[in-house]
Amino acid sequence: MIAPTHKPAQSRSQICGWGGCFMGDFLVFMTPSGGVSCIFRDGSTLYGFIFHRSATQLDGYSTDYLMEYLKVKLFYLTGLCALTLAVSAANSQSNDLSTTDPAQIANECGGDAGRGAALFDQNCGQCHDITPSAQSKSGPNLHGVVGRMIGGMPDYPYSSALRSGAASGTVWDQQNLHKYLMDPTGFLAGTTMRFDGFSNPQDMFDILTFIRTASLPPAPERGSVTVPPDLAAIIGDVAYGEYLSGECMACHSTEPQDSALPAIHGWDSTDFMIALLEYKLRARDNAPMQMVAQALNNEEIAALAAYFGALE
Amino acid sequence: MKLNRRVFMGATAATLAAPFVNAAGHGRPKVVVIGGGAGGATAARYIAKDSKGEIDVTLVEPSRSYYTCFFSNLYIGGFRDLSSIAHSYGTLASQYGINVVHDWAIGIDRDAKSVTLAGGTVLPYDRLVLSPGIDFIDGSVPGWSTATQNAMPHAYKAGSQSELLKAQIESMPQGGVFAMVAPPNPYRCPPGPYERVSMVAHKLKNENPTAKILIVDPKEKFSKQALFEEGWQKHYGGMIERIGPDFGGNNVSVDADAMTVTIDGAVEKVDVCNVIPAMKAGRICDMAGITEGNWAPVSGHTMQSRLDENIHVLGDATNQGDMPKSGFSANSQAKVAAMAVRGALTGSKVFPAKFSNTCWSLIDTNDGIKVGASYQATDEKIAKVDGFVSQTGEDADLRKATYEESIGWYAGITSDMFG
Repeated sequence: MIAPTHKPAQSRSQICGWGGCFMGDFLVFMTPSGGVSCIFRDGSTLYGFIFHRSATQLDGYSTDYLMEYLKVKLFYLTGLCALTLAVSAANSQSNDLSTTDPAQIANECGGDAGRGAALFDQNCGQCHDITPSAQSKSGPNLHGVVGRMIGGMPDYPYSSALRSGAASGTVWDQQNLHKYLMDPTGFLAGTTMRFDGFSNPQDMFDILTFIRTASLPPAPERGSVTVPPDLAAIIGDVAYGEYLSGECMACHSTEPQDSALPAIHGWDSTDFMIALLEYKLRARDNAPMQMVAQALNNEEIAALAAYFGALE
Repeated sequence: MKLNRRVFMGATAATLAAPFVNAAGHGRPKVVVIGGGAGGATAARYIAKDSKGEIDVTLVEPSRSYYTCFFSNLYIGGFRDLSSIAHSYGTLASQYGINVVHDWAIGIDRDAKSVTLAGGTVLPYDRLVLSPGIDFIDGSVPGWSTATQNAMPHAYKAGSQSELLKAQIESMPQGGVFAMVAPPNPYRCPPGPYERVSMVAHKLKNENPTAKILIVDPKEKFSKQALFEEGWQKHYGGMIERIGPDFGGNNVSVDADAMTVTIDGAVEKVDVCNVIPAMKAGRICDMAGITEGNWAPVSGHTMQSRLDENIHVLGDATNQGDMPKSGFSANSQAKVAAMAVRGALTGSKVFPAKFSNTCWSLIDTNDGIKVGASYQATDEKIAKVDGFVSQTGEDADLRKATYEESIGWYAGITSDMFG
């Protein structure tokens, strides 16, 4: 049961990539009809409360109760004006799809790719494939669908509704996909997709996170990465490497040991750089090491390789 | 006066420009470190090691044998011996030349720049590093106090309390109730209470399978919640119940004589009660006058107190921004502080502050999970840059590898702390 609680709103809005934004406990976005929808996240659960739907759709909560809840929540907003401004800010910034970092994608979409994968299997997998270059099933292959033209899969026999989307040049950006997945026929009247839309917005965020993550270009093969000339040309600063090594030594012991984590002293500096580059490019699989490597620029990689290479 | 960034920069520049004059006016500059945990032991070791004898380091720590809080849940679950999480300060003294003093710091004179110990010793310092960890807030769980911690252990400072809690679990009657009163934010080790529940459940599943676990929690949500809840469902179905604030988890009191927990007026009789009260910075921070509210605000660039530039504060005691209160965080912050202290006292080169953290938790045998992030310093705070977290539904091999990675990390961080 949800209960009105007086909680300070967070100090900044978190702009999300799918066309809405978090403001404290709120999630706000424009609806296809141009209204403003508002969803609250309490705890691990998302409670949907959408203005333009009728109260009878709200799972047994009385309208009075929900309005009371809404008032408490709205107390922290400076008014609908601020809210609308935030929405337009989100709409203007939300379709940058450039990142290839799964953690960043999860942040932007506000979802969990693992949950999304399970939801994809349950809800989408019967009609859609998402592996690269797989044949379309009864629905089009969804690999890389985010950023693709509506009805833009070559040789797929789309419905006339989707073909008219293509004719208008509209792209499946995150806002459009979000609207479509919440209410397919509301967004695209005449679509033949047999899906009623997600009733829980978190499911939709999880699906989008999964679709974007599954559409990433494959990581290079382990062993195929070489040190690029600009990195090879850097003479590593050993003193800087010594400071940076503190982060490594939080986990890696100097003593040779029977451990899941290897000792890294005395490594050949080229091997050391390749290892870090492969983690950075996700050719090697380990979340903490991928995060560490992605935070290192070339100068820092060269400094670490020089420092560890000089140790016995 | 609150120190702003400009005052800091000015002070640093002056330090670098003028020859350094140390506490005693001659000899080596002196650093006193109070607290020998993940923050303090690491800072002492790095300052001594990297200054190559140029700085005189004294470490003040009451315990002769230090028990790490991290992995103390694994001890309760039966995955580790107590001796495997105990560490001595011998190597810091013998190999790094650190003057290790086993005593309590009871006073700090910021004007005279000296620390007074319970034994009467007065230690002058040029820079002071405070890494005292946490203390509990009296009255935060009505009915609980340090005087009743033997009946209702916190086990949130490892050692005898961990042994006590484990012994109590072992003497629970068959089908009994283990209750945990979880702490409000912010607190040491965000996944800690929930890893503990997992470890208690693991133990009970083998020894007392009809027992129940009741979590009374003032928080709406908690660290790695989806992962823990998935794991509890999978390994310990039906054993664990959590009462969140919606059902009165934020309105709780205890009675240590009657062994009862009262939740929103409803009295529950329990057999073991693990009370983890609300927390604040270790008391020495308050005595030094460097706290605002419950914690000590610091600059992320150097870990200097915002109220005294001669004092660096590390770890759980700080209010620094986005990093969780964890041993890994304290260890990471210690290296930034060590670099800043050396830069100020010996003129060594100072690089931009970088931080990272990873918290591993064990749910059941070979079922490990983790969450981590990287951070950088801004003028306002330590700000998160990037992060990762284990996913629900991961396969058994990955979970086993995560657990094995945590064992490797334990060996690494403890040798990074204690040499």
